[in-house]
Amino acid sequence: MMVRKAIKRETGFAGSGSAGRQIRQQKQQKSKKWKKSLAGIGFLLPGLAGVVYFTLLPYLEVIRRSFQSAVTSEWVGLKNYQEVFGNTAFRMAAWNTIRFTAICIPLLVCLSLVLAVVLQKLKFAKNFLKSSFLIPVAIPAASVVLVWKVLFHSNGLLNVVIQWFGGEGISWMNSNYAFLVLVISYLWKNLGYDMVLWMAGLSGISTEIYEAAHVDGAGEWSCFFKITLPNLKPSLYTISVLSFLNSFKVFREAWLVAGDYPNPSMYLLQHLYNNWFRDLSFDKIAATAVINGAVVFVLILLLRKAWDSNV
Amino acid sequence: MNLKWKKTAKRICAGISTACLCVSGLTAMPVRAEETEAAMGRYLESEITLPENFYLQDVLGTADGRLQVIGTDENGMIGIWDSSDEGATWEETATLPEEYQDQYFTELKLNPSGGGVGVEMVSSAEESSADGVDNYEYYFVSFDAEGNAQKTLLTDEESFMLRFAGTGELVGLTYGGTAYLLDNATGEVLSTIADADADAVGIAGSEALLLTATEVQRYQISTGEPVSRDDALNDALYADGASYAVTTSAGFPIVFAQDEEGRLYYATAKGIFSHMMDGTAVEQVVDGTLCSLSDPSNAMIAMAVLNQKFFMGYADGEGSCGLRKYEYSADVSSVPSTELTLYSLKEDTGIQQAIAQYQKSNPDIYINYKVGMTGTDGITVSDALRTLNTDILAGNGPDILVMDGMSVKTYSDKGMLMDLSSVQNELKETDGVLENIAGTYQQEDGTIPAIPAKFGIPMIAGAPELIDQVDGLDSLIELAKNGDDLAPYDICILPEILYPICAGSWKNEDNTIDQEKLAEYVNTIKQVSDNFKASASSDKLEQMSWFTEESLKELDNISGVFIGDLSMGILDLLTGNIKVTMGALTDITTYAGYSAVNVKNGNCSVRRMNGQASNVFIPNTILGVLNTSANQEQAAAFLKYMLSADGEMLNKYNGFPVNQKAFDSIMDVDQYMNGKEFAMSVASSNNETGEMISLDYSWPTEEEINDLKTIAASLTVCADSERVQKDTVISEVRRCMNGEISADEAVNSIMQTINLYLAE
Repeated sequence: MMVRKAIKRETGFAGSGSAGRQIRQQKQQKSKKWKKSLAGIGFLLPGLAGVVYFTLLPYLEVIRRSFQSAVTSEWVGLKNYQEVFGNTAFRMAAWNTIRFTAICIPLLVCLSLVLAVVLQKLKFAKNFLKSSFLIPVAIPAASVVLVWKVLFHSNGLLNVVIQWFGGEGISWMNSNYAFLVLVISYLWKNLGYDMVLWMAGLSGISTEIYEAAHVDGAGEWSCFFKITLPNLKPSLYTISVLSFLNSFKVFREAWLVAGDYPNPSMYLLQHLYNNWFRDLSFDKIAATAVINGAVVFVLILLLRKAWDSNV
Repeated sequence: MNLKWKKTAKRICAGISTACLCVSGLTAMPVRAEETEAAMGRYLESEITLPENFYLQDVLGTADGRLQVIGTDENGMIGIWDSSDEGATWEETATLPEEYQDQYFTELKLNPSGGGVGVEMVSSAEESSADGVDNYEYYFVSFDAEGNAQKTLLTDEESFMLRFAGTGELVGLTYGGTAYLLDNATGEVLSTIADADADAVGIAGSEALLLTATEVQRYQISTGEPVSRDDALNDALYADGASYAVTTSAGFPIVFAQDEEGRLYYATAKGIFSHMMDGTAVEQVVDGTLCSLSDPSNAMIAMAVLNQKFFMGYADGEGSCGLRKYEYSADVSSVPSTELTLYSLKEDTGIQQAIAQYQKSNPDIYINYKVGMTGTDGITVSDALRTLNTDILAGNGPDILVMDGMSVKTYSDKGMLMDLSSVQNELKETDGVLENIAGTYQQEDGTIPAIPAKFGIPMIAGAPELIDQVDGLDSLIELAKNGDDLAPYDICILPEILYPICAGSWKNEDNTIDQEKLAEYVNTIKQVSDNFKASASSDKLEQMSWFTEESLKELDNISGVFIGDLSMGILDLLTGNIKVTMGALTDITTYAGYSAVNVKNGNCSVRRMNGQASNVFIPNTILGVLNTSANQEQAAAFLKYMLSADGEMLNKYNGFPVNQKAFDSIMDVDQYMNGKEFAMSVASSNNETGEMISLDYSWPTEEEINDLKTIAASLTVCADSERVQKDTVISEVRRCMNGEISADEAVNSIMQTINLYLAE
């Protein structure tokens, strides 16, 4: 009882004592933190509202539609998903898309890293080369398509060169080479962009670490594997996700060059979406979009997890 | 304190800014307008009865309020007729002398001061020149109000467009685009107004308006001095890249008139417009889309303004003419209360005609005609369909679909199309219907999602001993071994000709393509083409080069052109240039043409053509109403009109009607010929020999008509008209014909694409 009174007395004089000051300061700090958080939330809200309104809610609508018929909106359960998985065009498009991603992303990430490292080491023409590699990013898809047509047409430049050397012309866009053309085009277009991202990561690594390693007798390869690569891990996540998302954009060129039905080797999921839209198959589009979204989401989560566990 | 004040000031500023933002946002939001009654008043169109069998060539509103017309009467006499009651009754006031009876006048123009002028075209005494083309002489004819006429031989370039100024000065525009001031009595050139390369001329007060390809130029008629540009008029005339080049002898794309106050009026297919010279605005008085002005089968001859009413002389597609009055009515709403949207992939003049006629009899309905592929913007079928589907999804879709080139099955399976069985039943009860054609899209549950209004029949025409041998694709290959029997244009468009009679048989039960049948189609075309190229004369091979892929695409974009129709070979069969021709028969006139060839050379008949499929017909103007339409009842009413005998008879060249009454009517000799000779002939001259050949059409014999009726009744298989598949197949086959790829490569490429398309 006495103890309780003593405490009460002490708290009763808190305003004038040092403990009271501490509590008041703590309260002020809490209030400041809350105000800061509130400000943060205030700034976030418009953006978040946009994402909710333009992305999350439509996606929820897409999920709802994936269980309904195309136009009459009758509830059909999993029928759309069954149809999509049983659809040979979907299987072909999905396989091509996976194959394209599996080949292109590692290739792009590695090639751009090598280029970035080499450019970083260069003493001269560094900026010129950097800009040169970035030019394809700035070229509009329609112009890229013109170049494609000039290069890869059956009577195009590439075949002229091949025939000049005594070879036989190749039907680039109407054979399995079409996939190779697609891969090369994607790499050409995105190499510069990824390279710049890597270079940003490289510039963040302190030169003192390299100098210390060199003093300790480490070679260039050791520095690359022991210092550069571990320090670039945070960039890897961003670059991988961006490259993955950019890989979907290659459809623009593929569609502009070969139309709705290109060679089957470069028939991608986006071709399917596009053609289904023409045929009013909104139900199948919704189901495929849900599947596609889920796969992308899981992949990004996996990448994130791999990154978190390594950092 | 200072800091606190600053903070408070900042907050106040932020608050005010936010409030401003909200207020401005709110003001930008559409505020629901108070419902008011619809604005009333609009010009309505009505037909004026002209003197019987009168062919009008000019119309004029006189200063004393009479309506005056000039033209040819049923006896071929040229007369001036007056009406003091705006066309209700007519009185002939003058007739030109008999020497002008049955003479052809390229232009006849009434003078506001009385009388008028004209240009008479007379066949020259020298029958023909060295190049085989007839020579003509042109006479300037001047006549007074009593019909007394005098004529002067025109030695200079003749004027094809004559226009009187209000003051009686006469302006003539030559084919070369030069405008002259002419002597009213002799047609002699008094002075040159301007050499402006003009397409058309109009009169505004004392000025001549010369319409060139890019601008309207103004000149003083009496002096030829240029006048500063009227920007408002220029902008209005040349909006959307309009052109006023005259493309037909029947009429003009633009006509001008002036009222007593000097206000200028001009009419185009878009409507009638009013403008005060040098004013800042051009006002649309009559909306062309709501009346017959937008009817592509009509050409304007002349316009007059009288008592705030417009009188338009016009020529129709059937070779006759008429006079229409546009009169303001305060009792109808200024815009029609119901708007229907009609969509087709390609522009169709037959539909435009139907819309113009329907709107005329239903002033409360406006039909907005949207075309998916204009042919000028490189839009593909798929692009157009995606745009259409986006509109449908967004709730802005059309009410009526003309499904030529679209997949009826796709739209029907998705539940997008309204059941038209009631429309067909009503048609059955009133006029009757060719059920084998009209019911082709009937579903198992009895619903009818679409009805073709017209149809074509794949036919082969020529020497009976040859066409009797053609049965299936193999016999075609044999036939082509003698290249001179076939027409080069038929070979160039063989993929299009054979597609309707083959494609229907390619589909397997598992929704894939039967490779063998596709290969047979491709190989047949390749072999026919190769056989033809190996044996045809150099002339014919040269003619083949005219039909490039690009030129065929351009042709396909022209409204009303059906690639692969049967009409091209008539004269070639007559001259013996070819012995066989193939294609789709879409009109009785073409059938009559072949019948006339038979009358002349005794060796021509027409048979149904079978390919991999038999008894095939080609649907045309396939009509459907979208379930999403808010005006389904009105849309169905328009469909009923299009399928009625009147609607079906508007355009007799884009297919046979499915309406039984209309079908019987066009097969009926008395109806069509009116007891006279078939009023049609074609002529052509040989470029090298100068030899002229002409053919007067004669009506098919009763036996031939019965044959055609029997064929029509036996058609049971609807050809696949869906463009996505057709375009893919034809594009690859054409590459194969040109030797870019082998037949096997073409088949494989088509298989890949079409199987993918079907799998989707």
